[in-house]
Amino acid sequence: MGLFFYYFTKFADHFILIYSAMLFGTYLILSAYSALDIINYMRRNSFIDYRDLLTSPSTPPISIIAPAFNESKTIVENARSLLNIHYVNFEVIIVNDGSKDNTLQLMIDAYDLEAAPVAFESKLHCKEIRAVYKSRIPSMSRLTVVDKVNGGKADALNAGINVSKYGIFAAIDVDCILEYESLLKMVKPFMEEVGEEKVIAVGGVVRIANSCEVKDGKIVKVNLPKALIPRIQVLEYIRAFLLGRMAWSRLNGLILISGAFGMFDKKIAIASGGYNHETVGEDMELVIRMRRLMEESKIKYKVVYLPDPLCWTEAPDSLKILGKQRNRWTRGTAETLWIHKKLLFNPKYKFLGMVSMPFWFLFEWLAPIVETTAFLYLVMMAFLGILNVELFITLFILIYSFAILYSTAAILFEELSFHQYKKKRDIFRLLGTAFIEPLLIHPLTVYYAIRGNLDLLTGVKNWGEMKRRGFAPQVKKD
Amino acid sequence: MNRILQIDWYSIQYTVDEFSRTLYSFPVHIRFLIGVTVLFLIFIFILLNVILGSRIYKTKLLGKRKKLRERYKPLLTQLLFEDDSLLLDPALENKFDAEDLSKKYHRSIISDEIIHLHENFTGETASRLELLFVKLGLHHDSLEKTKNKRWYIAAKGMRELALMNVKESVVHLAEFLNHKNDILRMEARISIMKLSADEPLSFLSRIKEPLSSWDQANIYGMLNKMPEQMIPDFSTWLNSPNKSVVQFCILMIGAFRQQDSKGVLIHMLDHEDEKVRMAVIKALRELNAYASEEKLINMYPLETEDIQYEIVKTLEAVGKEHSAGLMEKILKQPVKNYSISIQAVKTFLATAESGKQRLDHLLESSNPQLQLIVQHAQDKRL
Repeated sequence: MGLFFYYFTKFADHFILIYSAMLFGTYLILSAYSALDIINYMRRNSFIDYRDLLTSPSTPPISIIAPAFNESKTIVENARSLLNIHYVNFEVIIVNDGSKDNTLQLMIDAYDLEAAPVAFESKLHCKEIRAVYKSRIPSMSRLTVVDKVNGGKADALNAGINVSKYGIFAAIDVDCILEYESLLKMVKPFMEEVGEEKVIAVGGVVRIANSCEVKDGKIVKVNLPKALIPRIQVLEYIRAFLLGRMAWSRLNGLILISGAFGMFDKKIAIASGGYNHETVGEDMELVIRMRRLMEESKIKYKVVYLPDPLCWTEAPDSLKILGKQRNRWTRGTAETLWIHKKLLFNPKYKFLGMVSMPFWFLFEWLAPIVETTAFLYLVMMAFLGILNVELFITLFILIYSFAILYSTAAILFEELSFHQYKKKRDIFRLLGTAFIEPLLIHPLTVYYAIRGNLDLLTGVKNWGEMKRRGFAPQVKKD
Repeated sequence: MNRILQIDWYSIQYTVDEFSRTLYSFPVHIRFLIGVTVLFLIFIFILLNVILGSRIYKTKLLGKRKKLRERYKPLLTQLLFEDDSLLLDPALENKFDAEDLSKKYHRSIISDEIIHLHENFTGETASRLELLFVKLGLHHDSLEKTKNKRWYIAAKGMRELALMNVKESVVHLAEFLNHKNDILRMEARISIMKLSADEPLSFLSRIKEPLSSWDQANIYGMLNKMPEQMIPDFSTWLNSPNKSVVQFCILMIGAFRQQDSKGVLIHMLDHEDEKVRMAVIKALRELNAYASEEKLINMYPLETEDIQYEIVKTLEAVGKEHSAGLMEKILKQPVKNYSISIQAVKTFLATAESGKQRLDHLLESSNPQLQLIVQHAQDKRL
């Protein structure tokens, strides 16, 4: 027993060290790769005039699909914001996913809607569509409202795809605020296709809009959130979007396009079966399934990611809602990895099977589990009085300093590239947040992730309600 | 005072020794971890300094730029609006301080300022700015930039030459038409279009790389800004070995309503490439090419659904009773593609004599699916 325990502790010590080293190494390599790509993107972008797309006959029309569930507080404004998007030929499809409040009635009243005889083919499975509404007002001809029985976000998106007219669709959270040129920028990679390589999906950076000034559905002034919880998420989003996804895109290994805003080739999305009802991580699952289809059909393809801040969303401002969100994210990741377990370490799927999927398995899904296990192990060792205090303290400081380093690098990228937070004070606050986040919020997010895994095991399937305050115009006090 | 400032080497040495002793008392893996941590801390310190330094640098640079721009503004205004003789004066350079034209940074600010002014003016003032740009030798800087190995500097140089209408640079810029960097290729095309008034699209005969839809949008954007008489006859390139050029020219024939090319386009309906055929069908629609009806009807059964949809849509514009027959046939068959069926109803109503009555008659024996399709097609909002 003593010998077993000795070897067990040796193994555990080494495992923690090796896992940490792999994690740090991977993240640092990805950051360096992202940095190079962001620089390249910024340089390229300085020569591009998106206005040409507004007159060109080659510009593809786009269907914007926004599911709405109990959004009565903001739905009218949100729809108006989407209708005012700067693009040449598009339709906005708002899918009322069986809201229990008066979301639909508010839309009917505000936009003078009436049921219209829309003929469409149900290429994707979805719950019953009760009616499709169009406005009597000619200037609102771009708006379509679909009223359906509640079936969840994936189901609502599938309904929207079924009703949509155009070959490219953008899936968007209805409460998101899009940047002026968002659609023009997102459609560009589809238009850059030459030869055999097909662009199947495009994603962009999602930023946090809490405390920002919003007027007429547009962000007019970017402010760093005053409250700590959203501010920490600003840091998390910068890290995830600027340091991670850019590199994955360059390596053509991106498997997650945020559900808040992504653009897809409709034919490929339909051919791969559309959004999956069986997971709460429907955004990631769709991208993987589309990629899988392309790999299996042996068609060259690309999933492109743009580092521009294209879409602004409201982040949870309470621990309760943050917890629900992170719980859902974990369940979504786990469910998606399980659905596509065949791809893991499967050389048939090349980069997708050998790098992207293993990365998500080892460093996204497994990381909180390893972290918790390591913590419990250390507690056990301390309880038994055999804790290697030197190792514990050194490792703790190492991990803490890495977390700060990674966040600081993310802030630097943001500062040198898009420079959204112009006030000096904001940068200092963001840097301060980088120092406290690993100690205050990170342990909680690990806890939420563990809860997510446990909920998954016990069969919890719900989305978790995300209460939003909405973007009311902020008035400065005298 | 001296005693206070005197460095106590002994105690420093003692501290270092003590630190080393403590450090070496740890096992090797702990020492390694400490080393990595120290490395991380050093990087954090460097990054923090870069963040703050970049803020200070940006503010300083902006200030310097602003100061220089304010200095050059009155002089440029004087040269442009006040005294005609100044611009023609061989000693024009003397109007600037020696360092203004000798220092690279100062020259770049003058260059940017002239280009910025040029964007806001047309006619004589714009020509004077172009002359000033050349007389100050700033076009040499732009040419120099185009030779830079860094593509973004070369692209900037190309853009400057095009904006300032430096026509003699066309030959040099044409060298970039088949460059491996797509931005340089794009800049070369746009620059040549701006600088070659006689043959703005001559480059279409020279490009080897395929034009993406994005490239095509850029070229179309430029064409839209040109006077009508400068728009070339796009049928010139319909035999190009570059299929994307052919496709683009077909679209442009439609967009610029070049009616003389109708006959050639109808022949091209037999083209082997699906994308080319698709472009031809769209262009024929724009041109209201009635003569294409029969051929479109004949090719319909053999085409893919995407092309079939375009054929049905084009027949709405160019078709007559013959097309109505095809539409009736499509509507009587089971629905295989909703878009085609909806469009077929629209085309039927547009081409059939007493189409409404015939459609009503057709509906009497139809299923609810077709009835909905007909309602959909007749609702103008959809």
